[in-house]
Amino acid sequence: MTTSYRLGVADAARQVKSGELSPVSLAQALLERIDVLDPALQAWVTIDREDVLTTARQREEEAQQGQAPGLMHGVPVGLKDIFYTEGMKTTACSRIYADFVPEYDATCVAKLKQAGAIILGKAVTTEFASSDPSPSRNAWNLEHTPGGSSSGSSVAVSTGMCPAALGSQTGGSTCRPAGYNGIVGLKPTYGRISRYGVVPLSWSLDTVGILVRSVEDAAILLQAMAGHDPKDAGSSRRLVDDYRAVMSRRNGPPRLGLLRDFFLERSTPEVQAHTEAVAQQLAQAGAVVEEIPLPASFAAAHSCQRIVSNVEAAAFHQENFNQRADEYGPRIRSNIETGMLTPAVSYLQAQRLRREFRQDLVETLAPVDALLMPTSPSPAPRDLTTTGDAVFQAPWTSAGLPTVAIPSGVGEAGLPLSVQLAGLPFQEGQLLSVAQWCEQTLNTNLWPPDYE
Amino acid sequence: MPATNPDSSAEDLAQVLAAHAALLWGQQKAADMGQSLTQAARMLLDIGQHPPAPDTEPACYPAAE
Repeated sequence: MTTSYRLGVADAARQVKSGELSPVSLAQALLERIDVLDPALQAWVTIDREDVLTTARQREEEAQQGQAPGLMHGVPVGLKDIFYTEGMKTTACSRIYADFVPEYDATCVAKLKQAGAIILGKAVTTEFASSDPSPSRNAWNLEHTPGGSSSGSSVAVSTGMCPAALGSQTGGSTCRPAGYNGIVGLKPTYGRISRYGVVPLSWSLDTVGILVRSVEDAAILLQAMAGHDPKDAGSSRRLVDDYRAVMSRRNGPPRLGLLRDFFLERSTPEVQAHTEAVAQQLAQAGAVVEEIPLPASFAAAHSCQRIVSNVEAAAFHQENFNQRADEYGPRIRSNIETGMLTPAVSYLQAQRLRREFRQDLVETLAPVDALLMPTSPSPAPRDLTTTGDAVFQAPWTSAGLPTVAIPSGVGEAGLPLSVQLAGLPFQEGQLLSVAQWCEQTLNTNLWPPDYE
Repeated sequence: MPATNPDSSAEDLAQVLAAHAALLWGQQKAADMGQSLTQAARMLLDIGQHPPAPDTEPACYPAAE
């Protein structure tokens, strides 16, 4: 087995373009690694080896002919099993969709292919991207949850089974598992990446997420997928920035707003101390770190997110649920039932409150470049009956703001620790530039010890 | 509707939800849902206690702004 599995997206794409790296040998190395690791980690649902290698050979020929213009030419990518893939099963890890084979690619999948990426396979998700735990295991300790719902995607990236994977976030399903597995997770602004062809959980909350091992790699995937899609009713028409250009223009350390209210109050002593230490380290490197209070509208943010998520899930699943309720897992079933009982007035009040909260957060963010907080109240829990706590992601998802989780250390139990940054809507370039500065300052390069 | 009445308690709301659940799925199911109904009632109460400003319209697709 080669060490090419340790390459990130930027390095792999650069080496493919220069002819140093063969897309075929990279794909073969990753497939071999999956063969060895996946029986224990259970990160993958479907892999079409023949298709992967056929595509890799095409990419290799294109690169040899100097036709490798895409940002991700020859780079394999995993997809959470809610992304439509033409001719390949998309099960959402559910009994309801067990035999569903889409006739087209999700828009974001098509864009990845246009950028030259190779679809490596479909990664395990919790059922319908909700909260019933998946069989995936945390590579840092098999007895701990990898988080969810993007569990397989996060485990695959953290263990070098692929350099990048797509997840999604409706509550906390990208940044939380990123934190639990010691990798970078990016949840862009709602509407920045098309949701067309993604099995929905909640139309007005669902956001395509990016799981990678560096902030630069997150920028590359975002660049490849961002942009308006007329097939997605929530898609933004805003122009897409050149994210790496914005990042390269960072001039000096950032101003960071530290959120002690709620976020440190709800954290374990270990996470509290760690986050304070991270803030101190960043300040010593030149960042201006000031405590920022949360707006009053934060008080109802979690309830708004849950109510909207439950009601929209109930609406999407109504027809199947009325006929096949027993085929749903207990937690998504409960969420759907609760959604069915929620008064329409409460749903709309939640949507109105979300709008106010979003506007308030724009004011909160005005004096700083980004908000800083822990990614989760604790490291990954030692409990395979839960996916952990999304309480530190749900408010940002509800407001539609972009967030990024970056690894920041290893805790007492040998599990990754992580901090999360939140930025202004559609200012992903600015947010990623702050995250990259923090990443370089903290210099935390994590790899699960048993999978190096 | 109790969900929008600021004087409602979580227990009141949970009872209303339980009655609705019994109509949809029967008494036994409603009884089994006790904990999730209590949690749902708390969320509804939370929303009811934080009324939005009168001129705030819902933004079902936040990217549209």
